Parts: sequence; structure tokens; C-alpha cells
Amino acid sequence: MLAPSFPAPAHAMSSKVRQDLLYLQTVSSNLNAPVHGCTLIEDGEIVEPDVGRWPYASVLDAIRDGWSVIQFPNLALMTDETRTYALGCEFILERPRTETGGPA
Amino acid sequence: MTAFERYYDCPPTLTDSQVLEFCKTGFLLLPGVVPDDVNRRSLEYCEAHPGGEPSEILKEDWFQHHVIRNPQAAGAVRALLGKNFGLPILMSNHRVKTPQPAQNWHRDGGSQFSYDLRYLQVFYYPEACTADLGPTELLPGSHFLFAHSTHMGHYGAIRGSYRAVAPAGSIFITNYAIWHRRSKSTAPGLRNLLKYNYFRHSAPERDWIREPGFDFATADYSLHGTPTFRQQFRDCNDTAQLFLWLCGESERFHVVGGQSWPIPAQRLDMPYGAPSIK
Repeated sequence: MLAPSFPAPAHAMSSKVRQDLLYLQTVSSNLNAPVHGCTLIEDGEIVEPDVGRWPYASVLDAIRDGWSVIQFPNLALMTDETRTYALGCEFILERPRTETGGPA
Repeated sequence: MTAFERYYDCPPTLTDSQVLEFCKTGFLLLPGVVPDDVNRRSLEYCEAHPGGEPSEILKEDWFQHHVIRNPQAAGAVRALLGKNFGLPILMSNHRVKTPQPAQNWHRDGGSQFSYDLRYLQVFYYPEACTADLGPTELLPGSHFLFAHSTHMGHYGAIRGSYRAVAPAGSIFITNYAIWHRRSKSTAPGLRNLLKYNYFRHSAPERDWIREPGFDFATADYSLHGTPTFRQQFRDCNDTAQLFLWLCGESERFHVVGGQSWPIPAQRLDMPYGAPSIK
């Protein structure tokens, strides 16, 4: 007996689109603040730009280039005046990419 | 090979300003302080004992004398940990075939976030470590940045990080809590990096080399040349708190706030809130 044929589920179809991620640590929560840390996940690979050669000078620059902010700096980590948590303000951004490499 | 000794004393070699600088940055690099013949012998030992914990090397007189009790390195340890400090009883070797991607940023297991200094992590390069061999990368001042290692994995390039490119025979002394990682290597090779700890065995006191005219009220407690990743002037408070603890004066540490001590400024008179320590 042949297995019934079903259309591919939506998530399988959407797997043709990959999620690029951009972590930016910044001097303040201002979208225009200078970047002082950066990690990029591009087409499934972790890319670490050289210091001083960030792809963007600020979060706003990244937004202008098609990135969407999916997490703003977590204020819950900054309630203790006497303790500095990690690198401070961190933005996480995403940008979907199609199999052909272009924006989705 | 001599009987194993646990504690050691020697003349301290750091001055007030050098101890203060260690408090700010969390590390001190001593380039090329171990003689070449000892570096070669250490490498031969690592070749013959390629495991991750070649602790038996600590029983070798030549290694004890020239590396563990190296006058410059042990003198710096003596300044930071006080008299009769505890000697290493465990040796690790981060022996890595290169090229390799960068390691995750981390604080070593056992690290405790605090404003005291009861142990030091020390690294020894028996051979030169060039930029393409993936030298240890340190983040100056990060011993004051609280974070769990398991939540640092997504950090990559960080402005102000320092790559410990150094000649053979270099020793670098670190605050155990400092953020660090093996940086990316691009050249084929084999990198040995020996790592060990010293421990405090006496109460803190200012018994290192005193500088004439060193003034606790006007000393510069700020971290220069690198982002602090902290609120403005918080680096000064952090450094001052650790420095006063090392001086045995922790009960005198108090920050009034505003433009008072230990914030750096060109004032017309002594800053408000400065501790009275001679």
C-alpha cells in the first residue's frame, strides 16, 4: 500500500529560510550607542569580526541594513547598583536569509 | 629532586603603583623571565608527559627554582599574596594543536566574585606564543564583571581585549576571576601553556615596595585605555576597594558618592571621603 501523500508541513517549507543572528554589546541602551562587542551568526556559521571592524557602528546602523531587534538589553540584570553584570547592554537582532543568500 | 615544600617567602618586587595597576587590569605580564635552557627543558618534559596535568614537574628542582620560584614572578606573587604564600601543587598544561577556532570566553571553574585576593592563576609559556598560535586573550578589568561562564558563550570579539603575545619564558599572573580564552590560531603548530595557582597564607598588609609620596587620596584608580563595561567611575570604586583590602585597610573603604574619592579629578584640595592612610 502506498503511503498517503501529504503536503509538506509549513515548518519544513520555511526551513529554506535560515535565521542570521547578530549579538551587539553596546555602551548604553541608546540605539545609536557605539558597539563594544560583536558576534554574528551568518548562514549557519559563527563569524567573529575583528575588533574595530564591526559590520555596524551601532544598533541603529544594523536596523537600517535590514536587521530586526528581537531582544533589548535586559533591565532585570541591572537592579543591583553595586554589581556589574557581564558586558552590560546587549541587543540581539535577526535577519532571515533565503537559500539563495538574499533577504527573505 | 628535593622534599616538597608547601609555602615560600621571598622579597616582594612590586611597588604601590604596580599593585594598583594589577587591581585595575587583573593581570601582569612578565616577558621572558625564564632562562632559555629552562624553557627547553620544560618543553622536553611536556613532550615526555603530554597529559593535561603534568604535576610531577613541580618536583623538579630546576623547575621549582627557575619557574615556580622565579625571582621576578615569585616576587610579584609575594607582593600580591603576602608572606609565606602557598606554592602550586597542581600543574595543568593547555597543550593545543593549532590552528583552532577561538575558545569561548570564560572564568575558570572555582572562580569566586569578590573584592579580596586569596589566590592567583599563573600561566607560563615555555616557548614563544605569536599572534597566529592563539595566545591567551584577557579582558582587562573583567574580574569585576560578574557573569557565569555558561552565559558568556555567545560573546565574540570584545573591544579592549588583550592578547598575551609573548616571547619564550614569559609568565603572566592573573586574578583568577578574569575573563579569558584561547584566541583563534591560524598557523600549524603545537602550543604548550602551563597553568598553576598560588594561595594566600597570611593576612593582607601593605608590605610590598612602598613608593615615596604615594598618596591614597590622589592616586589614579581608573582603568585606562580600554572600556570598563561599567557605570561611569565604577571602575575606580572597584579598584579602590580591592587595593585597600590588599593594604589591610578594608574597613576604611567607604565611598561618599558624588564627586568624592576615588573619582579622578583636578580638585582644588584633597577629595572628600578619601581615607586617611599613610
